Amino acid sequence: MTCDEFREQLAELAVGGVDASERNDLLSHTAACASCQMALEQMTTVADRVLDETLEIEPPAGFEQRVLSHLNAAPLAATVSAPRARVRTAVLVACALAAGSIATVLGANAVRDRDGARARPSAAAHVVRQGTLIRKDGRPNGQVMLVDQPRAMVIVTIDHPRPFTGRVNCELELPNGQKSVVGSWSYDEVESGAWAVGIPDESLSAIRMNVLDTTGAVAASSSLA
Amino acid sequence: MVVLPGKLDRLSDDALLAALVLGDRDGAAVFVRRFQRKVYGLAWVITNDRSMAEDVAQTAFERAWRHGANFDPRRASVTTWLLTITRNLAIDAVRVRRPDAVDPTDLLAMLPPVIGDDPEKAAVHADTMGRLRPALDALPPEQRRAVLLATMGGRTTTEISAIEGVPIPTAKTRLRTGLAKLTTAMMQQEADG
Repeated sequence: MTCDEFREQLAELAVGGVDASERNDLLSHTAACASCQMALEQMTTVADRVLDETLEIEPPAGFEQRVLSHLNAAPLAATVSAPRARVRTAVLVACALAAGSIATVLGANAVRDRDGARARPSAAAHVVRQGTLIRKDGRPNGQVMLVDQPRAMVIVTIDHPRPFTGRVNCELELPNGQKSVVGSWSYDEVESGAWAVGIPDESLSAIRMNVLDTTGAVAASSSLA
Repeated sequence: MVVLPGKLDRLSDDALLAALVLGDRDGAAVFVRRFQRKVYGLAWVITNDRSMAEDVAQTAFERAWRHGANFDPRRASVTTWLLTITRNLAIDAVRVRRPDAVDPTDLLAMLPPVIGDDPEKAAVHADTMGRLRPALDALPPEQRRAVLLATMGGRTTTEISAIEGVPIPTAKTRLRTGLAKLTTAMMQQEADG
């Protein structure tokens, strides 16, 4: 496909007006052509902005409650074994603070696919291992959870007072002794003291999580069971 | 750590969607409250039917919950993603129940009214509704209709040609030219800061 041929279809591609086979052909061209890729991104952004301009209308009274009742009738609550309120709060805070990370690792799907996203059997969080984060002075200072749904990730909540300054690394230790840093954060970025990141499925077997300070020393640690 | 309910209102759209996906009821409530006017509004302008619009909007939120884990912030904002779901559901509902519900001559009704001279309202409008409206208004009517039919209406160029009574190549040209002008306007706005 030439650039001219691509540009002929660009507008329809940007608004999702081409079928799947055409779309694949067009996107394969953008993989090898930075100029057309940029043109597609720009035009898609414009199309999105037009959609965002839609008129806001107040829904009928009680709409919000009806929607929530409908959602609550489904298995919306997190399936966790730890004290419910505590874990629910931790999940909320962590996901709130790390939504970008979570969403990114959960995988890409075409926004404009008419058939919608792939169905998942359950969207609830499921904690497979957890532990209490202990500071190096021996004081408990937060919670660590490994969850396998909706995607493998580690969630860390830090209670006040904050024990760390600057950027810290999150290290997971597997049963075979292998250690790997899965991410980092700083309190400048994570104001409320919670953090989460996607991890490989095999990391769900981790038996320990370490918080490493800027020198690489263990500032806090949690056994995971 | 304690999360005060009031803090939920200050979370980003992405964070709220993650809360919804992870099963937080308070987060779900704030998510619905934040987007319900846009979702219902789009459903209403496409279906032109209050009951159908409510069904569509409710289903859109359910889809967001079920498929939110597949949301990719690199591809679109939460608003765009949710409105795309809403638009597709509304179009499907209209096609099943009432094929001619969308009147292309009323497409401008899909857009919020232009704000007048009130600086405060204009500022709010600019923040919340984007800055594309003037460029959209400046398009020739046939190009504006093609853009709105394709974006908000979810119509293909074949369908636009039938609605507008023009050959398919003409519909394609109108859409392509209209979007190209809007793209230029957007880039100019970004260059101007």
